[in-house]
Amino acid sequence: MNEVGNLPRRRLKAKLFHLFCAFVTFMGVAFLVILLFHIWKEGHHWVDWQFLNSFPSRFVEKAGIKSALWGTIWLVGLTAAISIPVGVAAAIYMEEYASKGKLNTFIEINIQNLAGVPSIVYGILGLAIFVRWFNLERSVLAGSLTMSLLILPIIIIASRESIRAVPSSIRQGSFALGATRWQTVRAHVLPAALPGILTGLILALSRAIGETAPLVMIGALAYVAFVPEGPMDSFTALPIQIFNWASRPQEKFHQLAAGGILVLLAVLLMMNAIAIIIRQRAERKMK
Amino acid sequence: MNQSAARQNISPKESAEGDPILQASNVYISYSGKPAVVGVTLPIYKNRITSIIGPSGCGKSTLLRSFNRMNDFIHGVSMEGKILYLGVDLYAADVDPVAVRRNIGMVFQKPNPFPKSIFQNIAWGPAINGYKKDDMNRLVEDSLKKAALWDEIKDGRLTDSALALSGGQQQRLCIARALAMEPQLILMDEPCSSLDPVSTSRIEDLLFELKKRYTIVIVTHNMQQAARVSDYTAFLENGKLIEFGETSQVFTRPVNKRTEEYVTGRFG
Repeated sequence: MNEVGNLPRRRLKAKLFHLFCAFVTFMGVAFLVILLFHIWKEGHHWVDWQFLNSFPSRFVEKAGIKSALWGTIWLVGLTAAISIPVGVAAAIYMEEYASKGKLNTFIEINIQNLAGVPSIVYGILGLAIFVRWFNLERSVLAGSLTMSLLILPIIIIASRESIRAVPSSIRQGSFALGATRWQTVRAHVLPAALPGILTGLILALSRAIGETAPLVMIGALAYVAFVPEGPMDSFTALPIQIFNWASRPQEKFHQLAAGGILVLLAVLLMMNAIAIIIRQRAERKMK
Repeated sequence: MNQSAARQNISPKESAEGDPILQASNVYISYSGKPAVVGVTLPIYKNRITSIIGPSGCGKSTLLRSFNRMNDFIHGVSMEGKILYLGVDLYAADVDPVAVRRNIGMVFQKPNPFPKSIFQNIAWGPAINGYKKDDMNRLVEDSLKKAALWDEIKDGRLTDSALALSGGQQQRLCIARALAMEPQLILMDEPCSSLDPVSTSRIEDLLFELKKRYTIVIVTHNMQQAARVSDYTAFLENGKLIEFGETSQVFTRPVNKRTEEYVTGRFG
């Protein structure tokens, strides 16, 4: 106990690092709060039933985001329906079935690279393949397929990681009872990996909901006075509508854009809340 | 001396037992070219407990896992030789490894219950293999009784999560899970190595009960355990079977010098 040495200095360093981490964390939160407050102040009195239930208009008082809101709901719904089964199945294949050889590593590296490709590039790809080649025109389906390509790498990477985190002892226990690979995956691996997979899905779909560039590229319309009634209808989406309003010279339209952002955030938070509830249920079941 | 030499001879005909339930003949297993099991010939007799002992990395787990084709999942593993189970070559081309594992039970080193209820842990294996739902309650109860776990959980804990059980209880649950498949042969890979002494002795007591109806092969690190519970003992070193015989003989009058050194604790 008599040799104190450099202990006071080490204590001071530890304290400084602690303070630094806390400061940085609160800075991040503070910026978010300021941003939200600013948008709220600007836009909240525009958000009412009329705003949600009207089509865009030249007149600020009459303008609403009905078509953009429904366009986004269609877009995200179709994107989820396409990308979730494909992404999770690909992750299951690569983790559970594929032999761990050079080909698998090659595919893995490529998927990781794809996750980093700028979204505008996916837009060009979507334009060339889905809009032109598949002749899907400027439909919600073309938009959803493009969005699916964009978020597939995120879904695959997140799903693979949570599938890999399932202890192999559970798989072995299952195999030792005479289960096939599929029975093992279905009954044990997927339920155990579900919380992690859901987290990945939240991230991926949140990205899809906010992306603008690929939609502009494939030609989602800026002015739409109808709600899509099928996957082949043309559409607009919330970010496009927001961008459209924000780029107008009139101050009032800027406030409208803020209102649109609030709606976009609300949709996003709602989606996340649902996913978190499902995740917590899955986690509770595991305990 | 003559007698023990005869015991070391591994041919089943020389033994007092009937035909072995499982017969490994000249088994070679290697991982990516690195040999793990080298030319092992070993009979497993019905309704007996056979323990496989030996120092770390001697290939005892690898050998055990070849008895129900669990090595198939390991990348780069290759196997030569024959393993006959009730006369059927487990590695024949027309044998489905899933069917092998359905018929030969296994209990692992660390308890690995599924993160589900106790009931589901036991019912799942029979259910996927087409067991009728009506009899499931009885099957679960019977299996838990055979694994000496029923008394601890009968009061409404069947629907509790298996993860809420203690380590020793979890391991007995894993034994019950294996028993529910009604196997004739159960392989145990150091089943007590992660348990405390009280849980260990409960499992050892259970083994005595079980051998009336089942054949058990147990890999163990613990020589006292092998001496206490098993009828036959196989000693492996560097993948080779050094000695096989009745446990009393292997521990008191080992034929091979290495066996003697190992069982008396001079290495390993």
